[in-house]
Amino acid sequence: MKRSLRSWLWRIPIDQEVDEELALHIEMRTRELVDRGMEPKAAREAAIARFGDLARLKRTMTDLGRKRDREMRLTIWLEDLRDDLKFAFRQLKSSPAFTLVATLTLALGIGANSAIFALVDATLLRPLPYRTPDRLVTIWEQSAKTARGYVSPLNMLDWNTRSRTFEKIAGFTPSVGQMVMPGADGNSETISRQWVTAGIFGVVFGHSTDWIGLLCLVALVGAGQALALEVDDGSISVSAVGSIAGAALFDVRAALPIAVTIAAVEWSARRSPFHYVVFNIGTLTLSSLAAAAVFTAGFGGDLGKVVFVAAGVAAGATYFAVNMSLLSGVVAIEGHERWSAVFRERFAWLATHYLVYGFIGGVIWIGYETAHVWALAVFAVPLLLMRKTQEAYLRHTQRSAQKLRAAAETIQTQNVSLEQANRLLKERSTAAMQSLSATVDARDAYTAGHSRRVQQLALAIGRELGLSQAELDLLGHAALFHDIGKLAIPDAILLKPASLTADEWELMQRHADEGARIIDRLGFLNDAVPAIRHHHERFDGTGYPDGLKGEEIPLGARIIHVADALDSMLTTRIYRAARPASEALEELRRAAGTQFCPRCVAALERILPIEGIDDEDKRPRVLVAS
Amino acid sequence: MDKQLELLQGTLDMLILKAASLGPLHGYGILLRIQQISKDRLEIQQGSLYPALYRLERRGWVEAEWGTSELGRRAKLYRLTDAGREQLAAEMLTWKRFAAGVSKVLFST
Repeated sequence: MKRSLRSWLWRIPIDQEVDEELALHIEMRTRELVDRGMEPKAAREAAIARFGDLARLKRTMTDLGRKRDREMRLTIWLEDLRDDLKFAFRQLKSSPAFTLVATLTLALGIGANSAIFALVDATLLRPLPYRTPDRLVTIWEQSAKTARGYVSPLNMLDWNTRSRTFEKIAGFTPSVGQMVMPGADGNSETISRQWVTAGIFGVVFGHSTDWIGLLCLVALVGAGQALALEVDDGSISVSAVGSIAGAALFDVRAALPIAVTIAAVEWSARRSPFHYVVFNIGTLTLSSLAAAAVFTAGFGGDLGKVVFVAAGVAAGATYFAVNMSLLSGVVAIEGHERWSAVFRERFAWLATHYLVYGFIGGVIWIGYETAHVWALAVFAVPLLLMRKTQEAYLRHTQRSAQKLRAAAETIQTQNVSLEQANRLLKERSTAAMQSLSATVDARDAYTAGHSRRVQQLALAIGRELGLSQAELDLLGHAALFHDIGKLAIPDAILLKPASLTADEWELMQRHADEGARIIDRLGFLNDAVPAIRHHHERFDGTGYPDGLKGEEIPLGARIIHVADALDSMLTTRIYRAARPASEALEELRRAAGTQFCPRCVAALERILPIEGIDDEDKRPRVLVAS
Repeated sequence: MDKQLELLQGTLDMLILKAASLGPLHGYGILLRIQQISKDRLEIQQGSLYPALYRLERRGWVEAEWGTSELGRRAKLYRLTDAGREQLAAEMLTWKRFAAGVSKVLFST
């Protein structure tokens, strides 16, 4: 509606549109000024004057209006086109049966057209009325006397049976006199006469369609289709070779018989619905016609066999394109999928097959020239064998796939049980290690529960520093086992109530390294090893065993170092008494940056009150009081 | 308010869209409408009104059809299209932000 109004607007020439619009404006302005008490003439002049250069304005507007109309016309044309296409597509989509009928009609229409064109081409367009003027020659007998002598009839018969150069030989004489014949209308006519041998018309006008060859080909295609290989969603057959060869040998004449044969065999094998059969006939016909068009498009002839085989490959590609496009289209419509997706996923992979089919089709044509129907047999045998191989291969592949699937399932279940076993093993080992660390603590009455407390403290600091759960797990293990190396320290040193000698101190220091080695040998806590080995490193680099400095020291080790120091300061040791919490914290703060990591100390300070209240029984009483 | 303000560059389109959004109007009507709403504070160059209308029509923001004017003459009546409505909304938002920003700078204490 809107559009029709707009198109009506267009019919006014743009100059008129501009004129009328401006005239109205001026008139209304004049009227307004007159109402205000102006003289009509003066009012009109004033109204016009307000536009300034009226002529220029008109030019500008006309120009803009022209541009506008041009663009609108294009837009509307495009919109109409799009709407029409959309509508057509929707129509086709909503009624597949109609689509199929339309396709079929199209196929038959094109088929009929080609047939008519073939007729017109043969009768009107070709330079000579002979079927194959380029293969027609005249033969003479040569003797000492004559260059072009007559041929003896018996010689001709001999040549005809023995010659391999010529397909067929027929004889004729020059004019042997004239004859007066009475016409049907009563007038007589003089006719010149010639004698010819029986086969002359076959030779000059070419033999009519080679029905035997066509029949053989159709039979072969039928057999090929009957032996089609069933796969998940459809069938694979080599019958396309026959279709392409048919297009090469018999032009458009083979298209329909072959299409009908394939569709019929397909129907008898799968009992597909009627409209499928009709659709199959349509697409196969169209595909064959397209292939035939490629063959007849000026190949063959003088260009030789190589070109013809190349044309075969091209025909294969064409056959593939037409056939698969139509198939994809129907599958897409039925499944409400995108055409391109269907083509890509389900049909594109067949492209190479069809190129090969086309090649074989071309070669069959060459073989047919010399061996006639035997050429079909020569090619049929390998094709059928190939199909056998395909079948065996497919069966084998399916079996392999089944085996693989079963194997994958077994592996899956085994994996699960392996995982369970692994977890169990880890849990058990951790439990064992916990009791081991408790044993270490128990050797020294003063350090009872130390490892557990250090673990709790370290975890609290780690949480405050924002470590991930995995990092916290690791930190927990490392903290629990940080002193496990003391197993290797003799009681005499470990429990000595006085200061240690230099040698003894050196031995004592080895517990960090020893502990790391014990855990390392354990195998499943390797990631905790660095934190254990370095838990006595000092922030300024003067610690042991490696004298690491600052951020070089693993964070876990720094945390454990702080936690360890705090706990030992808060508990009575064999070599000194416990200190009050405020003093211990003061000490840590003082040594932050030299002995301890400042970040870890700061984190500890932030959490102490909270943690202290939370874990009353695990923390010495003094801490709770602070 | 005797003095009429010259329009800022680029604001005419916006005003036309606004006026056309109030219903089908011919060119002169649009002019009157703008002056009326602005209480005659805005001066519109009549020479630029029609080219602007043609440009907007070309961009598809207004569309025109022939109707009848108050005087009984054939008149080209403009109305806003959906695209024009969107454009107007966008320009109004931009203008609001722009004006707010400028005022903030100019009248800050």
